[in-house]
Amino acid sequence: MNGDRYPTPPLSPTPDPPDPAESPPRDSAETRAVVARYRSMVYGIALTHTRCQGDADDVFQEVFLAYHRRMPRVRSEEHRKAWLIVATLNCAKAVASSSWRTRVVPMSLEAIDAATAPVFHFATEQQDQLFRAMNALPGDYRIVLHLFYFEDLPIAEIARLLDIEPGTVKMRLSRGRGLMRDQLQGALFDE
Amino acid sequence: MNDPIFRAMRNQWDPPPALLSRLEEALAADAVPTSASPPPPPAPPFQPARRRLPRRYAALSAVAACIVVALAVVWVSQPASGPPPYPPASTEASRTGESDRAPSTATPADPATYSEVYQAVQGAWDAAKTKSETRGAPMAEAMSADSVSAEGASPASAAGTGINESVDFSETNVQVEGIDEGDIVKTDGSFLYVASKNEVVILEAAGDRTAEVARIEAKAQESIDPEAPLATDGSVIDLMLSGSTLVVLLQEYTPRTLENLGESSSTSVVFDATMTKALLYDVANPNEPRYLTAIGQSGSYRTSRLLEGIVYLVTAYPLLNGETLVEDDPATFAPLALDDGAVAPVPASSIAIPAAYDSPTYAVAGAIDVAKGESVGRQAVLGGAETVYMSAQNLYLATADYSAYEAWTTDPDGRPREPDAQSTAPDQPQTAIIRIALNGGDLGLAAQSAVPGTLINQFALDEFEGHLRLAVNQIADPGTGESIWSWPNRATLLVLDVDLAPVGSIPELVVDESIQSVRFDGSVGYVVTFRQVDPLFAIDLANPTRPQVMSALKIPGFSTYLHPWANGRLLGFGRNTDDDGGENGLKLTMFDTADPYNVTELTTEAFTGDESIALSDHRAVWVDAERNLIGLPVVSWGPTGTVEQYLVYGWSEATGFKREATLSLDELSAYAGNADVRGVQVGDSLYVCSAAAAEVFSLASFEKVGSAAINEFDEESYWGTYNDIYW
Repeated sequence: MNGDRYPTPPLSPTPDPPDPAESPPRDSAETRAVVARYRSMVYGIALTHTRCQGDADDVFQEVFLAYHRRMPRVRSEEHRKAWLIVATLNCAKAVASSSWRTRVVPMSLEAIDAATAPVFHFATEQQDQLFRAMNALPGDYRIVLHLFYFEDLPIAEIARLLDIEPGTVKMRLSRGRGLMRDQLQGALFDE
Repeated sequence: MNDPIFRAMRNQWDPPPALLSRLEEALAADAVPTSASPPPPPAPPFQPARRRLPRRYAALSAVAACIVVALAVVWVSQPASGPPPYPPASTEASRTGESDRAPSTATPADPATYSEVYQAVQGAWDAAKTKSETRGAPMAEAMSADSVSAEGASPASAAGTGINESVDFSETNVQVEGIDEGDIVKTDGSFLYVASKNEVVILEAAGDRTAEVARIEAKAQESIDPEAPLATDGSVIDLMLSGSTLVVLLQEYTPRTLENLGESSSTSVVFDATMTKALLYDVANPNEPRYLTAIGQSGSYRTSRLLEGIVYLVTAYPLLNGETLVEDDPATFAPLALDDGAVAPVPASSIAIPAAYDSPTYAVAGAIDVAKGESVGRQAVLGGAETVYMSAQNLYLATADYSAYEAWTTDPDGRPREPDAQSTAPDQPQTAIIRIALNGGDLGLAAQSAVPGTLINQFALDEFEGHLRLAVNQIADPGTGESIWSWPNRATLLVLDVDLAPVGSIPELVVDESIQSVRFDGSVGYVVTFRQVDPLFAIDLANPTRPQVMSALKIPGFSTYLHPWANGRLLGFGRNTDDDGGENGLKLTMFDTADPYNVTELTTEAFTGDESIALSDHRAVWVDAERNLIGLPVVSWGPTGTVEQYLVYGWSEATGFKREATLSLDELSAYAGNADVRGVQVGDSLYVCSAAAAEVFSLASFEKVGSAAINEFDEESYWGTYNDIYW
């Protein structure tokens, strides 16, 4: 799998604001390049996690602004990608947990659909069904399926990013696939 | 690996233009700071990855309940006779935290001081002593040879360099996928670790070149307790492998010397199981295992689990002699813990005394962070741990409590009570259940209650989406005035919430039969009961408040172990019976559960055999669903003597079961009635291991290609060792 291990991107809140004399100058051009490259990835994960376009928009904003302000020193493109994924997941969790207090908990697939916004119509009916089916799953399964199928990450990488054991990832994948199969009654997720 | 549909969808996840402009504006407004400007505002508050459990569990159950509603509508929509939709859960919104939950069961009391613990223990001892005097039966809770039941799917928990990712290998057959259970053989795909006597033997799993590379003599590295210089280590009980650390679970015994002989008047020396230790060894280089540390807790070993790098150890610690309890010395009445070479009583804040428990036995749960090599949490509860079940979030300890039932069925002289015209419903034997929240290792007692009925094993419990499902055996009053000793059994299904209060049930699944095996699989539960004919019940649990029987299949014989196969198939292993219910060999059955409302028996294969440890210990079952192979050890008592074999069956939809191999276990026999045999697959080979030897077979032809001797066993030495420890 992943032969080289690189340091885990920082997860805890920044303890002190960066010393202006030390921090690298903020390069809007670089940030724009990063946005252009990773915007679908960040938005997709945000949408999958929060299942609500309004929240996903907030997460999208926060993640790239944070990247811009902190300009993390990355050793490789993989590192940058990992930094963004972890930042997106953490931000989505923060946003989602603050939303619970004000939002009505959806009680049915229809309500979940509504919350996820009809703006998102995919090119085909099958893609729409898949999206709806994924949204019906519990968050833990959803995220693992998303990272595995939509972002093509290997299991060891998913385990590292989510800070869980590879066994747990495999379990959530196989159970998630089972749940999806039930939803779709199709062969899409067969190994 | 990935279907193009995923790529297609991924590319469509473009944020809307409005959002991009908003970001652009924000970036432009965020000017590059000069040295004169004030420090930039801190980054948005990201939460750390590690979860803080109690709050989250509450939130999770709120979410889970809603999702259950949604999914129940989707999943159970096909047949017209499905359960009717129930009103949406409105109570979940009130779950904001542990302090808010409405206690329908007694809230467990945490003692603030050792003094309170002492009072409780002394009281419990006195009550137990009174009971045992009238009954004349010794307190034998710690001595009960309850076999450790662990079941489940693959528990690969290696985060380190241990796991060989290029080779596929089988893992301990466990109850819950992702949660490993201690066992006598472990593998990482390159090496096999086998427990044998007081050693762990490490073999390189190399097919025909399989050989021993190292041997660990497992014993505490220093004499720990000056008060117990005669303490001796027994055999290695179980192993756990986490990354490149091997955790060796060892039972320590202390001879019951004259001072603490207690009630026994015998002059032979009794050894009590006093402490269970986890010895950690670094096996990054399996040729040279390196001892790291020992962590222990009082009690006899019950079981162990491994989840996300934390080993959870459960022991039962009875206080055998009430005469030696000294209020000022917690070491005489509280469980002890071993950390970093020192033994000390568990702090009073980690000891909980449930509302009503009258037996002076502790259940001790300890959480060990393997990577750090230290204990991260301990929770002791006054109460036993006969049955242990662990989910990803909670550890459940359950113990049968017959006191009320026995009080009801016995008259003051101790003789069976005769029924009379005013017979009231019997006080059922109860099962006391304790829920300990894992909290990532920071164990905390979360709920306790008692339910009527008894559990057969750990499979009778299952946590799913915030509810605990149990299948229990109860006593039923036939209403015919017969003596209570002939009252039939009744199988019951219960669903409890997070406080362990009942929310739904099937009070009478069947009468005059007792539960033989249970397997919960998501929103469906399978229960096998038996009197002469074996109904297999499929139960719909999608609605926790209204469980329903979907189908009942009657066939001869009964399964004692159920294993969800794939795609609507359920494998059963158990005893075959003839027409009048007499036992007649063993059998494997494949059930078709694709439509739970119409479960059928696809095929069954009966074979000769008298006994198998796989009937009661699921870890002895080897299932490889991808290769469609099933392996298990079988003993037959024939006219020429005892024959011990390892059977391998293949399964296919088209032709059913086929006997692929009958492997002789003569070389492996450790005179344990094949209790210690495991079949482990690594790459293209099957390794059949016991404490005596490992034999290697090709998976293609099942020809023996190699072997490695582990330890010598002969009848005399085996029974000799046994006698030394137990008598």
